[in-house]
Amino acid sequence: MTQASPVLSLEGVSLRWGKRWVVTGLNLQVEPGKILGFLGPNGSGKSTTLAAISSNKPVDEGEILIGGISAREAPELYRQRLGYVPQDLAFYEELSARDNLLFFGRMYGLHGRALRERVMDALEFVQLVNQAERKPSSFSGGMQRRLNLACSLLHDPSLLLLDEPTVGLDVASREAIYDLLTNLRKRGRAIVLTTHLLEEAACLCDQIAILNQGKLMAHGSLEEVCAHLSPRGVGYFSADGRPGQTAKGPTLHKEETVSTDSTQPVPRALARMIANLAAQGEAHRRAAAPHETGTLGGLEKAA
Amino acid sequence: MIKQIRLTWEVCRKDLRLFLADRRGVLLCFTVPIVLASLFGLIFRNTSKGEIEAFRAALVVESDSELAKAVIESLENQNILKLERTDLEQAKQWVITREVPVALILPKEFGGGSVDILDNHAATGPVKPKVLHASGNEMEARLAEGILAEAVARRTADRFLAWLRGLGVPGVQAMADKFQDLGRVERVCAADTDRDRAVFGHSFCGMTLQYLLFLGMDCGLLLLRERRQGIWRRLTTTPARPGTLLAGRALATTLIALAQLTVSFGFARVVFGVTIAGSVAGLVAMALAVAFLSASTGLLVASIGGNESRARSVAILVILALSMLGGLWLPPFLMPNWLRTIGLVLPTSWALAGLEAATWQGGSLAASLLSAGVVSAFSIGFLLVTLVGFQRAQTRASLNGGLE
Repeated sequence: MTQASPVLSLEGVSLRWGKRWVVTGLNLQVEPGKILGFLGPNGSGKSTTLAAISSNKPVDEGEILIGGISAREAPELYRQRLGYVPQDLAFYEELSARDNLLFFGRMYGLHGRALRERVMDALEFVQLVNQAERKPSSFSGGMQRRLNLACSLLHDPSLLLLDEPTVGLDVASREAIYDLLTNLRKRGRAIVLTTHLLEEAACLCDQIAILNQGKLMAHGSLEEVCAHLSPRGVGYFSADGRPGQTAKGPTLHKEETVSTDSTQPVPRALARMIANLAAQGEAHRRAAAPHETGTLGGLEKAA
Repeated sequence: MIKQIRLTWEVCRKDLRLFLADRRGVLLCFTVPIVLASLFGLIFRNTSKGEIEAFRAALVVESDSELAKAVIESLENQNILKLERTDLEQAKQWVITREVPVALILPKEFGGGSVDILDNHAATGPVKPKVLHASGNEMEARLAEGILAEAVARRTADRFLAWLRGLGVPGVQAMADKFQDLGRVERVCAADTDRDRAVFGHSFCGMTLQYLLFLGMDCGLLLLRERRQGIWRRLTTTPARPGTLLAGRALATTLIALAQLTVSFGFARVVFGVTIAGSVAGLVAMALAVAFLSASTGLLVASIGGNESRARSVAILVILALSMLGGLWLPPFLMPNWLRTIGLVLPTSWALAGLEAATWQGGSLAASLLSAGVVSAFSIGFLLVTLVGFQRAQTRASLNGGLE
């Protein structure tokens, strides 16, 4: 079985603001039809990495490639392959949903019939066809999020970059966004998202990358990440982030860490996150087992 | 390059749509400068309709000389001072309590001295009439002084010439006739523009300019809002370059500003008869320069103003200061010299000078082009500051937490 060539490649990427290095030596790849979730505490370098992938920040060392093209060499072509969905609702409330989509489509060089068709496709995809002439200010939060997503899909990007796509949404609206993203995955789009919702990472992402203080602490599937960060068992960290009594060993001291970088102790917040992430993964594994779908949760079924 | 030009136009089109989406805002945008300019014009027309507005003045007459009677007769024939006869004590009281700004006093011996010089060759000099005023009423006092001095001088000269003629010497009589009109002054208006057109011309130039700066500010604030909402970030991930996005915004603002100029001056032409007495080409050049100034001011506001509310406060302060110092409210000749000197380093005073030269002043094309060039240079300077400001803001925002 041959492996598909990656849509996104981060090769030894280091980023800095001023003289301060905020991300160092990042190596990642995302293949078509895969979702990568970036996790990490505040200040871990997630947003800076996202800024670099979206070409809003120059890469100081290494290379970021989308479909083998770097923003340094061909910025317009690079951006043509990228769809960016900001955390904020980044569209014009004074314009109708259709006019917003028409504008953002034009910004990617679409025009005429092709543009109109792409707008209609996007509206259908996010289930807003009947609301096309309404201004987004009259939309519910979930509809606004879907429009926000649609604005980045018009040019059919091979990589979709989402910054906390479900922040502030209720469960039903979140599920609707998960369905859309799962559909996009099925269509072969590579997706990178940042999130603080561990459930989102656990149930949606094929790969998880955990950043801490600008370094990649772990990367892989949920099981791989949990096994890597918590080698003494999934219950190693208690829910409040304290080292606990494990089945495999004695009570561990607080100073003992599971970090891949021995000079860098795991912060309490990150430890708490790992514990919760492991618990979420376990819950989804249990939920998925009777159906034997082999996926995390029932999302494939829902999609 | 062609792609970036097309994207510039797309951004411009979007901004024009956003502008037109708020119909009430559009209506206000076009009517407010017209209303303001009309009001300013009406106020200044009424205060300067060719004559100075009349004001009350006390008149104290203690002399019963012939000259005093003649001077009083002259004073009664003028229409600037509304004279009220009273005694000295009452006049002083009125001036102190500011019931009247000035009091004219013809002292007891007034006229006696001058008559003595002519008739009796007395050794004593003439007694001077007086103008009494309170501090702060210097302007009215100077006006009253001029009117009184003119009346005294003319009546004295009349009496002197009559005395000369009375001598019956043929040569002296002819000389007296020649001296009759000496000192008469002819007043001629140099500019071939009637007063109404000048007043409304100035008010429309000034108020439209001021409002264009506010239009620029609004466009700058829209850009700040886009940054706050993440739209700017989204746009910078499209194939459009940041310069393209700024150029599109500047182009839209320029077009709206041109439309506003056209509507304002069209109204001034139809309703108040403000014509293009200067060069049409000069007016077009000035309109483009002023519209560009509006756009670049907006971008400057967006780049250095910080958040929206702070930018709005700073921009309003700066625009009002630029308007006042640049002579957009009051004509520069009514301002002190030091303020006029400051005006030379402000884009607003150059913009006003250029627009006025092209419209009611009937200036040359060269005069308008010079102003247009200076205004454009200011605009280019603003754009350079904008680019630096945007780069710094981007870095600062990222340092404060990655993505804005």
